[in-house]
This record gives sequence, structure tokens and C-alpha cells, in this order.
Amino acid sequence: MARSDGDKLGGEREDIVGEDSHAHAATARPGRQGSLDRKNATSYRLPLWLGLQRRPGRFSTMNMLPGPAQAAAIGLSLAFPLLLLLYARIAATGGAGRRFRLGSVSVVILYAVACIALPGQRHVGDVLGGLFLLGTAMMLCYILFSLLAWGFTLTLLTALVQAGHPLTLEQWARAYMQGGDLGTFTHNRLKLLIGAGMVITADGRLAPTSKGVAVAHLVKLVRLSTGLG
Amino acid sequence: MSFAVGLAAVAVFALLAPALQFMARARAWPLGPVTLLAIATVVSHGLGVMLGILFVPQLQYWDAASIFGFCVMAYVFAFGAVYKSVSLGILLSLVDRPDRRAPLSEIADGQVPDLFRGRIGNLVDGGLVERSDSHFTATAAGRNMAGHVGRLRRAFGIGDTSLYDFSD
Repeated sequence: MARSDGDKLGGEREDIVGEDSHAHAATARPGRQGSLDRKNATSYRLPLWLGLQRRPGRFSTMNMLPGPAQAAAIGLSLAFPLLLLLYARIAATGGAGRRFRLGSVSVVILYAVACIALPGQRHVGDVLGGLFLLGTAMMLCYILFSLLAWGFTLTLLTALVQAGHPLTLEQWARAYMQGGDLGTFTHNRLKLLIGAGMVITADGRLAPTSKGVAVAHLVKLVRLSTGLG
Repeated sequence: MSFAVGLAAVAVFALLAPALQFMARARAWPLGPVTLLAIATVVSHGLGVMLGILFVPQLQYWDAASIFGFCVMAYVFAFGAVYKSVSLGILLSLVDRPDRRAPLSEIADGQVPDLFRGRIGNLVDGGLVERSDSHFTATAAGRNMAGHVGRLRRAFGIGDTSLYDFSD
């Protein structure tokens, strides 16, 4: 509702653009406040091109305020790591991967509840934007969470520090695998490929499946298009 | 229209990010891939906002930022997945062989130890680990980082093996 009100008032704001351009120029002077649309106290107009007289109609204004659903998504995005911290205190939530999935499902459900419970009519762009924001936060958290949980290089470092004394390459490998060897690590990573149906083993030899070949081609394409070569 | 502005910024990012990676490699810039991604994000987002201010009558910043953030994060996600993944490294090495087959022992005894040495090289180059003769020791920066990682892992209830837990 607030968003559609804002849209309606947007027309009114355009009508006073000439008046506002003076306000924009005024913001460059010390001691003057930023321009605030007097007809809509919730709409902050970013003072652009400070110090320049704006030609009416040349530059538009920018609404920096999120819609209600987007505000809910931003709040839930900030709460997401806190929710993961909370779930870490509950043993029944399982391992790191399951806990992350549980946290993701929880914030999506909370977002749906917020979209229903927030007063006023929902704006499609607002809800869609909120979903994008929530998706962004979840992907960012997953990248950081997976680095902590499954990061090879980081775990190598923590293993060396935990050992408390200098290690040779072989000792470091054993410390990294907490007494095991790199074969255990290899089997763990291969289990992922085999479980995903990308690799099969036969007579002690590994071979990619057609799915594995397709994924490998996709990986090469992504590497090429992201500049990794 | 604000979403379209966000998408235009994504297009700029999708061109700028790989271009920066190529240029950094070609000219040996002392900037890491993640730093280059951050530069591409800031520049393309700034350009997108400028474009919106110039051409959209009433730019809704969060509409544009939401789709931009989502697409850029998806790009970073894909980038991170293919950048240094051990599993995908094994898969690629299998596919690249002429007969697309390899003995398990060759992967376990050859490729994985090579990956291990490569990552240790990254830690040494990054100033987190130092080598003296045949021994490796964490530097002060390395111990500091390991301390932060350990605290975060404990807070989030994450183990310190980096192995996938298939019971999940």
C-alpha cells in the first residue's frame, strides 16, 4: 500500500520538479538540509549533482526507500546468520548442511508470512524485489558458510595452527586428515561425484557418466565466460 | 523499468568481470580474482544507478539493486564453484583424458597430493604460512586468521574436517 501511495505521489513530485531543483542546488550550501518531498515524508530524494543547477526533466529522482516486502526481506536477510547461530545451539537440527537448508526454508516461510501479514495491497515488483534480495542474502551466506564448513585451504591452515609446531608436508597431510591420509579425503570428494551420478567406478577405475561429461563441459563454459580460462 | 536498469547493470558486470580477470592475468596485476569481482560489482552498480538517474523518471533503487544483487551473487556463486573445487577438478581431469578413465590410485596418489601442494603454495604466497627447510609454520597473520575461523566454526556449530557429511 505504501508503495502504491508512493507511486501515486510520484506524479505529484514530478509536478514540483522545478521547485525541487532549487532545493537540490541548496543542499550544496553548508548548513542546509537534504531535500525531502514535503508531500510525502517517506520519500527521500537523493540530492544529485550537488552544486549544479538542475535542468527540469533532465535528471530523474531516485527513491531509496524499499517497499514493505523488500524491507521485510532486508530484515530477514540480516536475521538469517542469527538464525543459523540459533540453530547451531539446537542439536536436533543436524549437521552443517542440513542446518543451512533449514535456515533457508525458515526465512522463505517467514518472508511469505510477512508478505501476507503486512497491511495493504502487495505490489508485484515489491514482492519480486524482496525475493531477489532474500536470494542474494542466502547465496552470500552459503558462499561464506561453505568456505567455513568445506573449505580445503582454510582447513589446511587451521590444522597447521592446531598442531602447534612446524610440520613436514606428510605430517601436515596427516594433521589435516586428523590421523587419516589424503586417500580418505579423495574418497570423500569422489563420494560426492559418485553420489551425484557424475562418476562411476568399475574395476578400480573411474569414469565420468554422460551427466558428468555434460557438467564438465558446463564447468569449462563457466570458467571461460567468467575469465578463468 | 527499475528492474531493467538492474539488468542493464548485470550486463555491464557480465562483460566487465571476465575482462578484468583476463587483463589481470595478461598484465600480471597484483589483484586477486575476488578483488577484481568486487571492483566489477562496484563499477557496474554505479553505472547502473547513473543510467537509472538519467533515463528512468522515478528510479526505485531497491528494485534495481535487488535484481542486480541476485544476478551478481549467482555469478559469484558459479565462479566460486568452478574456481578451486576439488571435486570438479577431479571430474575435469577425467573428462580431459583421451580414454576418459583413470585408476583410482592415480587420483588418490597423484592428483590430490598435487592439489594439496598447490593449496599450500597459496597459503605461503598469501603470507599465512612460511616454509623453513622441509617444515611449514603458520605466520602471525595465519594464526590470527585460523583463530577467527575457529571461533566462527564453533559459533555456527561447524566441524573442522572440511569433509562432506553424507549423513546430512
